[in-house]
Amino acid sequence: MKTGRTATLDIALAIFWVLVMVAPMAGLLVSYGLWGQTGIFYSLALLAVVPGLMIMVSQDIVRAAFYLMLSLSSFAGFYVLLGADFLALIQVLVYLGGIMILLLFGVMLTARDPVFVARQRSVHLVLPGLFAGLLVVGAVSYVVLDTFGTRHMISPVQSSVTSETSASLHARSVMRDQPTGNGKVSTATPTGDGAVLSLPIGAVSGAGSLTLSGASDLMTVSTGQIGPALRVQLEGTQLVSSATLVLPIQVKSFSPTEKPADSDAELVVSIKGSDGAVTERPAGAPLVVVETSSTGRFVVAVPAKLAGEGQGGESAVAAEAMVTVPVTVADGGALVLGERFTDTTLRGAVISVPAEAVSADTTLTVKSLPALGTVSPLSSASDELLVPHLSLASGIEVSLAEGELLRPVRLALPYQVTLLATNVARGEIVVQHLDSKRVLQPMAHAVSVEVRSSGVYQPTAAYPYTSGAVGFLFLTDFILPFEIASVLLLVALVGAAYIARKHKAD
Amino acid sequence: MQADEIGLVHYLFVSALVFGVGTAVIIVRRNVVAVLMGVELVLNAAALNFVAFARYVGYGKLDGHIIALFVIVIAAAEAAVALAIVLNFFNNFSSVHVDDGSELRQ
Repeated sequence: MKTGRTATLDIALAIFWVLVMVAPMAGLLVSYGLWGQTGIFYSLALLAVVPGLMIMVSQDIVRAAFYLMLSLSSFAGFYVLLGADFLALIQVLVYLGGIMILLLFGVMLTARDPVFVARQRSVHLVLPGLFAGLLVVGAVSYVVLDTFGTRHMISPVQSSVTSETSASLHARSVMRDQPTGNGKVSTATPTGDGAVLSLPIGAVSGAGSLTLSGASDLMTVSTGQIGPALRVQLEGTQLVSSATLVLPIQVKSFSPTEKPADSDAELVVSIKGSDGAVTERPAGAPLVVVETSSTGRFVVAVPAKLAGEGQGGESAVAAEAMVTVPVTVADGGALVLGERFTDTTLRGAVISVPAEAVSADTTLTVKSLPALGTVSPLSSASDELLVPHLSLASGIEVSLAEGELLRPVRLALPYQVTLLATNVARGEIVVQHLDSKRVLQPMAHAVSVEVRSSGVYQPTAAYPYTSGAVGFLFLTDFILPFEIASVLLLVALVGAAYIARKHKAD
Repeated sequence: MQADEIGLVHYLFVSALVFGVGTAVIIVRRNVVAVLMGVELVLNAAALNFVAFARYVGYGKLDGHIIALFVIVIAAAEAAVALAIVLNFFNNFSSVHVDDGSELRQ
């Protein structure tokens, strides 16, 4: 018996088990800033790959199982590094707890193979196996380098989270210059924490306003009553000297607590331009909902009931010089995105307006900010509108149906704007109340504004980690796959028991 | 991107390495349980890709995490069923050598 060698291997295995415990912890050390990320990453990478190779050469299947657990534990560390703390826990629980035992049971119950040790590996398959492995590595590496090479290297966005419950919230952006092949791309990510933005309208229109001011290197978001709420994200693009500002703002629920004195009153959410001028809302102005979809596309929802209204080109929902789309308010006013509206997609720089929203004499005009230098009017014949740039400074105006303020109205205003970093002007979002005489008045009642990008869970104070987010997603967007997976697990359980049972008849 | 900063590419490389190792294990090892281990490595490499992409290009979305969780679930189901098959295989052939299970091939 090779007891000495076995003892050495056992000691090595014990050390490996310590590493198994350490691997997820190491990720935690990094996440708390106690250790550099680079060293941890490469340690974990070694811990992932080397035990995998040991599985291949190990004589003992039990040791191979332990090597597998070592390799998989490093994945838990990776998950912590990647901010997937819930996934790291699940990795430890399922793999190191469940599948490990399962594999060991499998080994234990099948360990009576008389030629077990003698035929651990097929010698003639070692070279093909290694070749296949290297082929996979090479192919994937080529694709990775070709796609995400140094030219398009993607780095994690630097974010500084500022949570202030005071009257102002400043989300500062951290500018990062990314060298590209043909210029400099600036990426900025100001991040506020939380997701709910309570915006008493009177206070806002009076004293404060949601100010989005993007200088080229700093974006300040401040408001009168905004809590630690706003999350503004800038993403880098490949455009030269440009950045994409993803600003999903969704006014989720608008529930006036009191009926305004004027039953003809409307609610106007307008954006004040940099020159201080508030966009006038034309009579019977329609509603345009611009939503950022999950894939980063623009989605412009336009009420389909425009034709025949006879409002022509003057009924424009326009944020000044931004998107001028003649549409009308749908009946009622319960404007729920994606249900009443025909969602049309603006991919890149194309807005699709449903054809029924355009009558023959309707003028569809989409213009970009004058500051941006390009104006692209389009005719009604086209069902696709070219929008060079949606500018935040130009703003967007959203209005509710007249006389519908009593009903709880969901006003969805998520919008995504692309703006040149050099042309980021100063803009304000002012929530005001347009009375029957078309005079803007400060709102007397509160509106609850929830800032969230649709379909994206933003961590809040209640769920600061991904556990809550994952649970949120499981019960919302992924409820069907979740149930299917549950059924799959049940079927696997029953099927495994059925397959593995002893055949009495034989 | 700084050279010493861990980015998406690093994770993709590690994932590719583990995937390759898993593939090699599947091919080289003849023990069915060891082959299963190789499959687990491959599945984990794929899951790591999802999480890495969610982190670096997901813009805060967690869909990659969800997919990784589904991968884990499927891996668990697969391990359970496969080990049951292994037990059945062992009961019939008194072996866990994959080359012994070539009856259907003939």
